[in-house]
Amino acid sequence: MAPRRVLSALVLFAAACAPTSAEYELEVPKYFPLLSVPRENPLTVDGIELGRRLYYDPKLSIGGPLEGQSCSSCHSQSLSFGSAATGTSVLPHVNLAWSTVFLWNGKIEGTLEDIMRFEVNDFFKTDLRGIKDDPDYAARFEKAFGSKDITPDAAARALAQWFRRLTSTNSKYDRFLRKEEALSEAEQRGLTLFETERGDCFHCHATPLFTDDDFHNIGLEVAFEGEHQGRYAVTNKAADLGAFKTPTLRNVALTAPYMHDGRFQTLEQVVEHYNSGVHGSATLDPIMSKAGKTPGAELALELTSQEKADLVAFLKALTDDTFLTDPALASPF
Amino acid sequence: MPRRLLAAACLVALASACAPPDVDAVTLTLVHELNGKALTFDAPGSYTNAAGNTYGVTRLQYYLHGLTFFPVGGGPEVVVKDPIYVDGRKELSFPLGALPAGEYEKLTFVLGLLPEQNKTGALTNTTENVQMAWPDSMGGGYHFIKFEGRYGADKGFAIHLGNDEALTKLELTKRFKLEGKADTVTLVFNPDEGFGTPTVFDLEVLNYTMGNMPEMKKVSANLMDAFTLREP
Repeated sequence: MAPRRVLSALVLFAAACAPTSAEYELEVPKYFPLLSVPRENPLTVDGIELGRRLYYDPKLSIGGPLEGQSCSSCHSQSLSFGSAATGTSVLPHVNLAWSTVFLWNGKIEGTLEDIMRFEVNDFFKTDLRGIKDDPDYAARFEKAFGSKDITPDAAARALAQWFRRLTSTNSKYDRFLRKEEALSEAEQRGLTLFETERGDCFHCHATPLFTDDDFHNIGLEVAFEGEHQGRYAVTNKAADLGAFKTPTLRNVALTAPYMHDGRFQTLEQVVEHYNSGVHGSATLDPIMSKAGKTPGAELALELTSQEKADLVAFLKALTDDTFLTDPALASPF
Repeated sequence: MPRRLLAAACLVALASACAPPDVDAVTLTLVHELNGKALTFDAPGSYTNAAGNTYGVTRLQYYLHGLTFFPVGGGPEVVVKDPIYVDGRKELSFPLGALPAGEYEKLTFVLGLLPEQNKTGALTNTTENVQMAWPDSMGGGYHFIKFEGRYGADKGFAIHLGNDEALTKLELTKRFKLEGKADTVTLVFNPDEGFGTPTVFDLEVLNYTMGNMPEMKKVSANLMDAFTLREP
């Protein structure tokens, strides 16, 4: 056989044998928004598994200032991939597949690939030496992306696939929407409060993601210094003073402490803030003030004790035990 | 027989040649002006309504639906079936596709969604459509418009319309042409009209309309004069 034909045959043979990862079909309820997945980083079984391992593996941080930590050091599955640590509250890693702005002040905008590049390069500041030294990872990167090259970009893409996998779609509220289960009377009353002008939560915590992926000043402060600047720290626009990203309320019963600075420990405290604790300012979200109410109480919801309890009951119905306990989302180590 | 076939083919060709040609690419462009002033978001105190409230705008999102072009002298109306979602902070030009060239004397549409599509889940679940959802407990469907802003030291307004009863029907009687390979229809929208005529809204008295059907209908009636066709 002539050398060119041998070479051609060998190339064809190699191509036929090159590992190609199976596509991963993410199941999402039909009432969820359409999911956009970049063409250059489709969901694959091996890509997701690689991302999962990187998420839980402290080797990711070797060489950087957070050496010894992994993503899961601060983001626990049982807490909806959030954290119970006090101080600056971490945003839970749930349903971020639909986000285009990340972090409390939206410092990173774009896709999950963009935020993961930030996490790898700027947050962990890792040179990936801990990953590169591990022959198992070389094989996994090759399975996922067809190359043994372990680069920050490849790590970011694997993590992005993993984050797309972190979808919570089976809370009691979801089962109610699918007519699989009924809400209790208190939960139903809470839902009505949530999505009518009485509580008016849904305008920012828009269903079914329970976030509008936007920024709002909800009256936590009257002056906006330091960590309270919010979105302004990124845009330098006066209109953004005190505005923070709307966090999802999925699994919110487990994601205390609440607000950007973790000032509230309980859902009751959160509800009471909206009920009677809102501070006016020039950048307070327009939704928060309603004329024609009790003078001096334009910023208050004036909920009864029963209504506050009903609202909390509904928020608890957003807990998805499947998501919190799914072995496929747990640490592989 | 072959001659008859040839004659028939010629007749068909002749008929096709006489049908009005299409403008291959018609674009709808929205211009937002509040009482003649261009809309600038997040600029406090930029605009003054009929009640004397000075305000700034933080959000303007709405649907237009059922665009119907009426040819001069009668003839079949040209209907654009799909709704158009507009976010005032984003893209303001929308392709309408190919439409028959010619002169038109009227354009009608609704601000919002026609009843057959104003039902929960009727629209494709884009992020925008999902976030415009009108709660089922309040009738379901979608917000027709969200017009929000701030006035005074620390007050806001949120003019939201939804439900079929608050649908605004617009009828713009003005001659205009569609011609050439590509053409543009420009609509000027003045959302401040919602505060003005015939009902004057004082934001100190009413600054939030959702769930208040009598007030939503008044705003809807005010908005019937909110759009104009602009000459190219």
